[in-house]
Amino acid sequence: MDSSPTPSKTSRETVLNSIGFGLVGLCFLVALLRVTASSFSGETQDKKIIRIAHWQLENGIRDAINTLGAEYSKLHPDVKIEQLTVPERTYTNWFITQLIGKTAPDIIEIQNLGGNNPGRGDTDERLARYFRPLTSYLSDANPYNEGTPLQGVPWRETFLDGMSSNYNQNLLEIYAIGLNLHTVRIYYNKNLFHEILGQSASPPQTYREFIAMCEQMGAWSRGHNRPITPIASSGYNWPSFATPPMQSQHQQLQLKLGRQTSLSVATETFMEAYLNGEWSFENPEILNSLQIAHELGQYMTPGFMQLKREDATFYFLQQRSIFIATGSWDIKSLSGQANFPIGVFNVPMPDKQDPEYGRYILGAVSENANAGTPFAITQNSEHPEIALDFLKFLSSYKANGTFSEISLWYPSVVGVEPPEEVKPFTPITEGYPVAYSLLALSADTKRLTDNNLYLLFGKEKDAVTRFIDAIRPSFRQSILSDLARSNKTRLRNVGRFNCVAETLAWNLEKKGLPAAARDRKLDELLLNQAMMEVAYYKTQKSLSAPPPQP
Amino acid sequence: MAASPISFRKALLEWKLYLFIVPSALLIGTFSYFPAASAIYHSFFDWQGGDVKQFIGLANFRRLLTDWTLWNSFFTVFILILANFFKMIPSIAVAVAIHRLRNDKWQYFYRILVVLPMIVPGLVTLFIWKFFFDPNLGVLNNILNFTHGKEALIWLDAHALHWNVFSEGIPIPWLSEPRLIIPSLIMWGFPWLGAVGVLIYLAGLQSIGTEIYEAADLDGVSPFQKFWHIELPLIATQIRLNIILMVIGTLQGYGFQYLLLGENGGAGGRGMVPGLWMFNRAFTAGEFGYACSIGMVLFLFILTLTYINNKYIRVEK
Repeated sequence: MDSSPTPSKTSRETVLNSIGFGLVGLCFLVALLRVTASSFSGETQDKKIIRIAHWQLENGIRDAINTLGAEYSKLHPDVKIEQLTVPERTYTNWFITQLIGKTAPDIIEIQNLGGNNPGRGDTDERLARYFRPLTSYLSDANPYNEGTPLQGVPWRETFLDGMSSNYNQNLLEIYAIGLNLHTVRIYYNKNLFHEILGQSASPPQTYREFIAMCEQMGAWSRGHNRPITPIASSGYNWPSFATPPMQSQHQQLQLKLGRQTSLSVATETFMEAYLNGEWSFENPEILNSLQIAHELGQYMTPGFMQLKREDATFYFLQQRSIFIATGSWDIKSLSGQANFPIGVFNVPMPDKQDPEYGRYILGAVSENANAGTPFAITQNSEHPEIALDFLKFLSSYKANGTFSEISLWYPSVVGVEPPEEVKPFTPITEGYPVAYSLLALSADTKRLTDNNLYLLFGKEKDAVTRFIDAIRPSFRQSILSDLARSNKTRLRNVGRFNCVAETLAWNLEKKGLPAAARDRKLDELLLNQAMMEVAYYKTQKSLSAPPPQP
Repeated sequence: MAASPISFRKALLEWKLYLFIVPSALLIGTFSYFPAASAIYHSFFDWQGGDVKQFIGLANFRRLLTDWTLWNSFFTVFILILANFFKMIPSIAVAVAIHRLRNDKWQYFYRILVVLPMIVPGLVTLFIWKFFFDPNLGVLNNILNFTHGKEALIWLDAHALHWNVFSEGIPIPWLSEPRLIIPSLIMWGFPWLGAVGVLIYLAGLQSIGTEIYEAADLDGVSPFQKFWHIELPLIATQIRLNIILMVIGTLQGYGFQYLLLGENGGAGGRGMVPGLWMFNRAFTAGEFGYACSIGMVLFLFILTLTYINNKYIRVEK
C-alpha cells in the first residue's frame, strides 16, 4: 500500500507550517520594533528625552513623577521626561552595569551612603567617575521658585536639611538632590490591637510597655488558638524595628569614640575603634543592644529572616500580625490595601528609668532628617543642562508640594505643608544622633553578621553569647578587609584631586575670575585633598596596628 | 568509509560560502568570546568595574588560595552536583514510561504535558518555590503538619540527627536555619522532572528499533531488564550529555540561591556557591577584578570535569 502523503495533506501541512513561521516572524518583528522604540536615544524627531530612573515602586511615586514630568513638558514642549523604574532587588546590579556600560539614564537615584558602603552601588569611586557634581549650582536661586516664599533663596537653602545629607565628605561635593524626608514608624492594625488589649488601650510610649504588650498579645494568640504574631517582620523589616532601640544603648559609647564635635560617630570611625581596642563585644552597651535585638526577634514572625519585605506586608495585611515597622514610604501602599484601620506610632525606645537598658541612655535618639530619594545627573547624559533644570523643577516649592500630595511622602523643601496622613512621620530632630548601625557596618562585616543572625534571633537564652562567639573570630578580619578597600578608594580619590585641581585652575582662569576668588576655591580643594590624605593615613595606621591585648 | 579532509585550496575555492557564517561568528564573538576574554584580562587587575584599573599580576589568584568562603562554596556545590545526579532519575523514568506507551496519541499528550511547564517563566517558578518554603504559610510545612510528618522529623532530630532544628509548636524555618539550607536546595524542584531532559532521553529512546523489543519479548525479558539492558545503554549518550549540562549548570548557577537566600548565602553562609560568591564580590564588595579570577577558577573546574566526563565516561556504541 502506498503510504506517501496525499497532495491535500501535504498542502495542509505547508499552510500550517507557513502560519507557524509567519507567527514566529511576526513576534520577532513586534519585539524588534519595541526594542527599537525604547532604545537609548536622547532625542526623538522633535523632542529631547530626559530619562529618570529609580527603584521606588511604592504606590504614588510613579504617578507623582509622571505628573511632574508632564507639567515640566508643558513648560518645555521640546522636552519629554521618561521614567524608568527598576525593582529594588535588582537595582544595584542594574545601576552598576548601566554606569559601567555608559548606558545610564540622565538622572538616576543613588543612595549616597558615602565611602565604600555598597549602598545601591554608588561608592565614592563611582560617584566621582560617573556623576556630575551639583555643588557649583547651589548658591544660585532656583528659578522655579519665582513667585513663591522661596523666591531668591539659594537652591541649597530651600531644602529642609540644607542639602547637608547629600554632601559627600570624601569627595567634597554634592551630587544629588533629595525629594523627601523619610522616617520609620510602627504601623498597627487598630482592630486587632483593641480586640486584644481592650478599647481603652493606647499605643506604647516606651520599650518596656511595648514588650509587655507583645507578651499580652502572644498569650492572647495562644489562648484563642489564632496564629497571630505581634510583629510582622522580614529580613528587610527587622532593622527598622530594632535599630533605633539598639542605637539608644550607644549614646555614651559614641561620646567616648567621637573625635569630632558632631556628637555622631561615622561607621568607619566605629570600625577603626574596634581595631584600636576602644570597644569590644564585652562592652555592656554592645551586649545590651544585641540583647534588645534578640528580645524583639522573639515577637516577630517565626522564620522572619528568610522572608522578604513583601512577605511581611502580606502577613500584616492578612491580619496575622498587629504591628509592622516600616517607613513613611509605605503609607500609601499599606493604607491602600488594608481593609482595617491603621494607626501609627513612634518606635518605642527604652527610657532612662528602664531597669535593664536605662543606664547607658543620655536622652532621646534624634531621627535622620536627611533628604531622601537622592537624584543625581550622570556623566553620560546627553542633555545635562536640561537634566539639571528638571531637578530644579522637581525640587521647587510648588512641585515638591505636588510630589508630596500625590505620593504621600514627607516633603523635603522648606515651607511645603505635608499632607495630613504624613504628619505623624515628621522627623524627631531633638536628641542624640547615631550614625552607625552595629549589624550593618560594611560589605564583609555585614555579611559576617548577617550570616549569623539566626543565632541572635534564636530561642536560646544564651543567644547573644552564641552570636558573639560565632562572629568574633572573623570580625577583625572583616573590618580590616572593608577598611582596606575603602581606603584604597580614598587614595585613588586623593590622586584624582590633582587632576581636578588642575582643571579647576584652568577653568577659573578661563572664566576670568579675580585671582583672590580663584585662589580661595583652589585652596578649599587642596585643603580637602589634604584632609582626605590625613584620613587615609589615619586609617592605614589603624589597619597596621597589632590586635589589642585582651 | 571515512570522508577524507578536503585540501586548503579546495576549501578556499567556494570562499563565498564562508560569508554565511559571518553573522553567527560575529554574534558569538561579541557576546560569548569577548566577555570571556575580557574576564581573563581583568582577572589580573585590581578593578572596581570602572575605567581605572591597576595591574596586579597574579595577586587575585594568590588571594584565591586562601579564600575559604570560595573553597567552602565548592564543597556546597559538589553536594548539589551529587544530588543532581539522583535528581536526573525521574526524567529518565518518565521518558521511558512515555516511550513505552503503545498509543501514539497518549505519547503525544504526555510529551505536551511534560513540555507545558516550560512556558512558565523561571522566575515565577522560583517565587512559587520560595513561597513553598515559607515557614508559616508555605505548602511544605502545611503538608508536614497535616501528614504528621513533622512529628517524624522531631523524632528523627531527637534520636538520630541531633540538629535541634525541629520542635513542636515552632514552624520549620527551611531557609533560615543553616542545617536545613542544603536539604532545602536539594528538595527544590521536586519531583525533579526536567522537560528538556525528558525530551533528550525520548529522542534517544525513539532511535531504538521495535525489533529489539520484539526480540526481548520473545526471550521473556522483564520490563526492568528491558530498561537495564536495552534502553539505558542506548540512551547513555544522552545521559552523558545531560550530565555535562547539569554539571556546568550547577557549577555556574546561583540564581535560585540568590533569590531564596540572598547575596550572602543565607544563614551561616551555607547556601554560598561559587557563582554567588563571584556575584557577591563583584556587586557587593565592588571587587570586579577578583570576581573575574573566581570566574577563571570556575572555568577551569568546568573544563576539567567536562574533560574527565568525555575521557573516562565512555559510551560503548
